[in-house]
Amino acid sequence: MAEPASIPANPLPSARSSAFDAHHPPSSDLINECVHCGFCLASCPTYALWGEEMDSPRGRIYLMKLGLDGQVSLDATFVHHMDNCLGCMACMTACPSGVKYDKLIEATRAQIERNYPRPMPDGILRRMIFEIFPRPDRLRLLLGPLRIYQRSGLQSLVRRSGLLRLLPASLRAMENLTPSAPQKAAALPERLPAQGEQRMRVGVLLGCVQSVFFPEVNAATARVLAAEGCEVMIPNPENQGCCGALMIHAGEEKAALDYARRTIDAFERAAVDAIVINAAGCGSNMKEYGYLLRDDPNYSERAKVFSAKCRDVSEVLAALEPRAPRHPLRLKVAYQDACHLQHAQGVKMQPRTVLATIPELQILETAEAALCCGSAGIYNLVRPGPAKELGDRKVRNVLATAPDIVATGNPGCVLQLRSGLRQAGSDVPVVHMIEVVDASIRGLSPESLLKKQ
Amino acid sequence: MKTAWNDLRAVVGAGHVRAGSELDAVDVFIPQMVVEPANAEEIAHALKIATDAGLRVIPCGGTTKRDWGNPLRHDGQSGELILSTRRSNRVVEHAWGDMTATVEAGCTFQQLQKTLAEHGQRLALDPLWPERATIGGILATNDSGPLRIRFGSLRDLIIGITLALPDGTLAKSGGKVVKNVAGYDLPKLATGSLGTLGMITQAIFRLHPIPRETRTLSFASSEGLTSGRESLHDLVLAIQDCNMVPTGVQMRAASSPTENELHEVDVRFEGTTAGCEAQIEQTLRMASGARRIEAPADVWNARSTLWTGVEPSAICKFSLVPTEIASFLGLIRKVSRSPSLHWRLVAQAVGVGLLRLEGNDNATLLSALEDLRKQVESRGGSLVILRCPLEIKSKMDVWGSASDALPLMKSIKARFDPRGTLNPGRFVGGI
Amino acid sequence: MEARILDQFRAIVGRGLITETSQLHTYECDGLTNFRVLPQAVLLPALTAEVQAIVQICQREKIPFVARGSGTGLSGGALPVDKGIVISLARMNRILEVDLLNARVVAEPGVINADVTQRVAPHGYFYAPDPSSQSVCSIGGNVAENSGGAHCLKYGFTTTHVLALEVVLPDGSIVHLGSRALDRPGYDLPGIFVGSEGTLGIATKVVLRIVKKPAVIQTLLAAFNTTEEAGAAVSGIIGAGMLPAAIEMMDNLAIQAAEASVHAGYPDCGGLLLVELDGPAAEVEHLIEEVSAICTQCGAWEIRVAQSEAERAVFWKGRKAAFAAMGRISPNYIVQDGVIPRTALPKVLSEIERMSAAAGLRVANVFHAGDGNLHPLVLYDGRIAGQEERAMELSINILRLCVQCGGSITGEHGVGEEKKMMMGEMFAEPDLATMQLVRCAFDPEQLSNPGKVFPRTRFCAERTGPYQPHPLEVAGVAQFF
Repeated sequence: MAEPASIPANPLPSARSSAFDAHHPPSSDLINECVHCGFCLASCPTYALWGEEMDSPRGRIYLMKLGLDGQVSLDATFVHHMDNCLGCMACMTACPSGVKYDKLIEATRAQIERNYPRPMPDGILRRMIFEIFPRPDRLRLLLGPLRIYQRSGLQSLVRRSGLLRLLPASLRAMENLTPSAPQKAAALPERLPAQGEQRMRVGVLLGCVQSVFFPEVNAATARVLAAEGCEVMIPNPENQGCCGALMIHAGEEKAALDYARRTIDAFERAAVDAIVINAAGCGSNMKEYGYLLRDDPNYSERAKVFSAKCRDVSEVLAALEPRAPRHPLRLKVAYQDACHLQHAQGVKMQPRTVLATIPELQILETAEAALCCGSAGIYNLVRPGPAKELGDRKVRNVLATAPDIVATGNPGCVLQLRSGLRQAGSDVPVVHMIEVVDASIRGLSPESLLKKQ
Repeated sequence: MKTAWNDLRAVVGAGHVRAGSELDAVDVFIPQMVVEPANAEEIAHALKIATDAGLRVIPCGGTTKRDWGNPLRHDGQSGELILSTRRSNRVVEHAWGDMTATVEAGCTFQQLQKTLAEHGQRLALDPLWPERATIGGILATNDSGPLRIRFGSLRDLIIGITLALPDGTLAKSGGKVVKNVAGYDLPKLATGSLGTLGMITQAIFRLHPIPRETRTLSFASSEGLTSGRESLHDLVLAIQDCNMVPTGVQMRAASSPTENELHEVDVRFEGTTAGCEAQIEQTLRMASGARRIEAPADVWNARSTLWTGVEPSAICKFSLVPTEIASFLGLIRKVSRSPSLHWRLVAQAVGVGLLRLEGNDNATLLSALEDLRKQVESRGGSLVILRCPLEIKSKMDVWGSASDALPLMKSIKARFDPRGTLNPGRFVGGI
Repeated sequence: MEARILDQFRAIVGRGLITETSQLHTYECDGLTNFRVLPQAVLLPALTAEVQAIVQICQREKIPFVARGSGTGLSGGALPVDKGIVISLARMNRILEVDLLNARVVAEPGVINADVTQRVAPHGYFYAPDPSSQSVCSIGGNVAENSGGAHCLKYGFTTTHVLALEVVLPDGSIVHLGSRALDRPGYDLPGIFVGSEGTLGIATKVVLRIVKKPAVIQTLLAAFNTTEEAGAAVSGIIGAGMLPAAIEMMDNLAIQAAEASVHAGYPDCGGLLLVELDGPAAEVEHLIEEVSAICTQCGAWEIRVAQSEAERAVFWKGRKAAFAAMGRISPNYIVQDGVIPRTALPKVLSEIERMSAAAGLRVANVFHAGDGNLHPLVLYDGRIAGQEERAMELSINILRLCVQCGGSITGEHGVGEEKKMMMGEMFAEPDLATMQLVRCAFDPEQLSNPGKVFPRTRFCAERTGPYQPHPLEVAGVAQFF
């Protein structure tokens, strides 16, 4: 077996004066698909905040082009504008020319991580995030101290005291976003049989943040799938591992590819019809494994096969005729589209279709639904200022619909919305949409959902 | 003056230059000469001769609105002449397939419409005195009527213009196609400019089809009640707020010796039979609080009736936002109470209308006009005097307060007409 | 730019000052990338007072300035000027006032066109000028270009819907043009300002007219074998005395691009017509049948009438995305914006076909067929030597053809930088000189977007009338371009 192509330690520059190195610079073919029409400006959250061309998709593509031509270098300004990008892909939905901005920004971020020495505090923060978040075992270590911090009343004290204002913005953001330590949950089994006649055999990705902080979402996902006639396989439920989404979206190319390979290995053994993902960011990343591992002769074909099987949980359920009876839930639900579902995966109708199977449930549409809530992976930790502005804007739009509950499809969005709603003085709960479906199938009361915080 | 006379005769022909008479008076002022060129080139040439000779020029078409504007400023030194478009009056081209028409400034409105009707089209405008008013004069005074609510005014119908500048230049702007953003929109600048920037020699318009059917509804307020009047005002606003497409919504009102003011509203629809009938039904439903009457004859030319009546009188054009019309009527009522003045008005729902005030003497008229204007301007509108006794004209600017854009307007005038040849002093701010 | 001037600018806009070269590069062109000029600085004011202060500095220091909205213009109107600055109005994006009873909205110039409609739609109104870029283009940009859109056939252009403006003149003074009430006495200054392409000053507030939504909108799609047949149908519709809200035509190449982009499900035909009628229900129902009959008579082999708002949106999706979708079938393209009298349409279309074959390039055609506004998209591959030049030549020749047929070099994109050399084909010297009198009245120092629209800048002391060559020109020593 040939060695997988490895990323050179110090790649040479690709052209005489290009700002990028020779390993996968942003593709000039892809850049030339941009005709500079500007349709993306109206959909871009950073353009909505600042109105500056450099922080619009068109402007970023232009900077990449200038980088390829050697007219700009990978300096602090360049990096700043690329870092400002949320990676929400709303621009891709808006672009009439079909520019593959996702590929461009990914390539550029990887170039930055390799070639730009980040200033210390920034670098340390990122290091910390990448060492902890993709490792459920390490995240779990935080649970103990977190429980003490939260249940002793210390967290409320800290929040009320105004001490937070003394912290740097990133740490303050982190504090605000910190999820509640969940009740100790029973571990999920490796296999859950289908109820009734089996229609499909599916694998379920547990995720990192999701599995540690929202184990009930994974449990609900497994239950609903089983109830709908799916045999549910959960490879390595104690320590399934990260899919690499956070890494690739931040330009940590090598780590992302390693995680991708391991994920493929884990699910291949389970031999499933589809791999079901309940976190939008993970799903969009896994659907791209074929592209990510294109250079690796050991994995490129397998990755394509793998990606073709990846589905968001709402896609799977929307394609199946609902079998488990739904009990009514008289609730007004504001459904919030996660960017990596509506833009990156083009999944917009399916969650609504699935929620619409629940009698008496009213789905409310929010204004500016295409605008990111500001979570965007780790964005709300590294760019807390604009993330908060966008979060507050999303919260205002959501509250304007007067919902009983907010449902979404991504743990990052859940954290961002909960933080924003709490800071706005609202007690409207935020849940994953699968929890609503689960409650309906199990005949739980609306109050059971409203109690979730 | 003498050389100018000869030069002009050489250009337009001896038979087309004559001395001015009382019949040619502008206000009470009699110009020295009346010159009638045959076409645009002669007009431009005549203008140049006049400018070079230091003469003042008063452009003239059908003379129907000759005394609109402030009195001519003349210093007694230079002479004045009327430059008439009477002979330059052809419909140059009717491109009916493209729905555009090119017409010389001296063509009467009626003549133009007759020509266009041969192919089932019209200029969607209803100016005053269509049999005599010429295109040039209509444009220069920006005259419009009830059709405006659907088709806009002249600025929305004109697509090209040829101007003769005082230095003899003939300048074209716009073109023969409706959609055209090449260069500046001089047709708009010339519209309503009272001939102070250049003399309009030719205009190109976009046309509309002659409607298949036209129907008119008229309503009057129920006997004397204030609420009846209010319901008519509400009807006018409601018609604009719904999604019907009337081609005329007009209000006629007049003072009366008793408290029973006359208020009537006319509504017009054009189009297919089915479309008209559906809209009529809808209007009748909306107008349940009013009394339906038979539409008076020639009601859509009601504005012209304001030019007859008791003297002394003043006729003015007012413009307000639509919601202010009702309170404007209240204002008129108040202002004309003591000493009592009679008034009649014809207003369009878009907020533009004509008012005739009749009084005992010039002083009461003047005071009423000043009062009205102050109130109208404070509401963001305008009150322009179209005709009044000369004594009032000498004491009150006919146009109203100048805006902060007056210096800009003067600057434009200075570029187009540096020697102040055209209609000096007659326009806004003494331009 | 001198540090002391930058300091003055910084004092006005604070962080809204962009000076780093890499950032300035992103402002070096607008939607037309064939021309690029690096500005000295870019400023983003948030208030009228800031705009005024900036312009006053420019006046004092003789710095030319270019106002920019969303930068989506297609004629280089927002192209920076050498040694000049760009004033971006993107942050002045608030709708200040909505007066439904009088159907007026007051907006800042950075407000997005579609946002005006969105704001008043719940009350049954809309803002009529709807250029295809309406989801992103700004009101200020619309004012500068007198933008139209598919529905301007019936509803008119931006100038029909602008009642008043607050403007910062190039000398730094603020004036109010027009008024909320109609027919303000004086010259029609809003009328001359709208469409002046930023050469007369900067609008900082715009009073817009909104229009009541029609009772019923019916949209019809008709497939023809050729654009000639489709054009005949258009003439038939107009000749029958109907005034649809919009009539759009696309040829096969344009259809292919649109399908590749948005999958609107267009029939694969030689010429596609999109006809929209609006008005009272009874009227529209009657007329849509007439339109259908005329289309059939002229050879339409498929006719669809949209049965729902969603279907209507799909009909339009392809048309509205047509330009940008060209990126899918060609690496590069030039979009032109000529106007011809409607009756000349068949002749011009066949002539374009002949010319494009001769040039060896493909031309996709999208038009506002109702008012003769053509958008020929000349497709080329910039990587192949000589193609870009041939493409530009072809697009200029198409414009020349339009003028020869009695039309215009621009229906809605404006003259800007791109077409100023063609103004001389449409207008004679005295015409251009007269227009420039207006320019000199507003901007005698030639600071506001100088060098745009007119092929040769007239110095403001010059007179109108036939062009008098300079003695040096007569002597053959100097030459004007």
